[in-house]
Amino acid sequence: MKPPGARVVVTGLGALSPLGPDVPRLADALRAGRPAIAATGPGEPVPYRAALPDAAVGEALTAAALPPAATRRTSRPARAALAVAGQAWRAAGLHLRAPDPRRIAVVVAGNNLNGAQSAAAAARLAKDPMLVPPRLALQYQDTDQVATLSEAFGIRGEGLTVGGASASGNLALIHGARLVSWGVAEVCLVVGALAEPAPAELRSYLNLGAMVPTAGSGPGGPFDRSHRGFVHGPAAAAMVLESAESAAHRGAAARAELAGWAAGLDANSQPDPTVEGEAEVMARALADAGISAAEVDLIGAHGTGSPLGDRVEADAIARVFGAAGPWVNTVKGLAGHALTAAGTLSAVAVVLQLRGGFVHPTPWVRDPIDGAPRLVGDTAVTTPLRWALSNAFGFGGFNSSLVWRAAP
Amino acid sequence: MDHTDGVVLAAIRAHATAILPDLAPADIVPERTLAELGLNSVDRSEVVTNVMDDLDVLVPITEFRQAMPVAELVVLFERYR
Repeated sequence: MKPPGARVVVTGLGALSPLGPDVPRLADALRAGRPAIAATGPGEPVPYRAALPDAAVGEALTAAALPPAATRRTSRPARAALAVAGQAWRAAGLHLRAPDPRRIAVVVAGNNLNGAQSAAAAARLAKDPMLVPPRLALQYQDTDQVATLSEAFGIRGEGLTVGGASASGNLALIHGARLVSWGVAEVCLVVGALAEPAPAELRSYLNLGAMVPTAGSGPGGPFDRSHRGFVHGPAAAAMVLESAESAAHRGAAARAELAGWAAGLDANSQPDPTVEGEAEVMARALADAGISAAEVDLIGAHGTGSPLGDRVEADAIARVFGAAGPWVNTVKGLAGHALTAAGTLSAVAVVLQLRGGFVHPTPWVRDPIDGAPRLVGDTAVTTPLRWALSNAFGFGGFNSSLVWRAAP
Repeated sequence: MDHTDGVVLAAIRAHATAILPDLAPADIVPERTLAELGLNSVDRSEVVTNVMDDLDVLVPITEFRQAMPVAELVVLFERYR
């Protein structure tokens, strides 16, 4: 059990993903089960993608209603971070009334975020060293996102990045929740940053066997026998975490409570996950929240569509929840895999479902794998939800699970 | 000075407004310096490297002086094009 600390609630959400440039459009796409995954084309490093065009970044910025000067001197990933953070900031009412800036923290989820930019600079270096963009010295570092956010929102509390491969989104939420729970900050802006890997980095996932390798029989999908690996779906997402006391003081509505969390390692540097490691964090997160497995209504699974990953997560869910477990879905079946931002996007999706009283469909599932969890099917299930889990796991044995409680 | 095809000026405008999106391309007039338009030294250096890369022109860094109006930058790039 965790030591007593401040209760941590969510007061703002932001999202920019292939499912839409803001939270309302993400919620609509989730409810409808509208997938954004499409075949790419010849000359592309991967056969399928859920696309995030520049126009969507622009729309996300519009939804954030930031002053035009806020996007000065920013890279595309930093603009995506500003967009989702701005959406969450406004939703939390922080543009109207905010605590002392020294009591606001910012945590950016992700590591190795700017490979695409570095690869473009490397091509210039090969042409002539003089052509290397000087601002790369700032922008190749993941911390550029922390700095850009702090400037845009006037944040003067603690700021840092939290990296844990595809578990980064959850690990950053855990770090943010601890800062709030321990009283280090009253508000923590947690941003799942847009990760833009270099073309070679992205292709290495495919060559490793983690991605859908060929156009062939379609993209398949998580927990279905058609699964052949993940599909890349770049995204950014944000949450404002806040102490319940601060939210009440500001008159900000709590959208959900982050009631429990757990993270751990597999003592394994390789990409293969383990049932023990995943089951362990789910069980510990439940204990941290002080609830039993039977009380959980929904699991937002990590569910990438990797045959091994799906098998291991299905078995881990069965171990913790038994045969008649809660509803299970995964935003990756619709939006693709956002890599280091995936945990944050999944957490936003879970909170939207808790608030909306629905469980998003899994329309890609035609023939579930043996021992599949309780998948939703082609249409959303409308039902009151009280408790939900969201999982994120990463290469190198990073396991994490969060427990969310619906706002009363 | 106006015998150019406008490509260099267009590239300077595109890169300057990409860095400062609240600046309009029409704000970037030949008689002003980039500093006067609000671009700091890193911004100016970024504009210059991006224009060189776009137009496949290499201008020795020693050729650039402080406070060059945009028109003089255009002439300099044209000399090496």
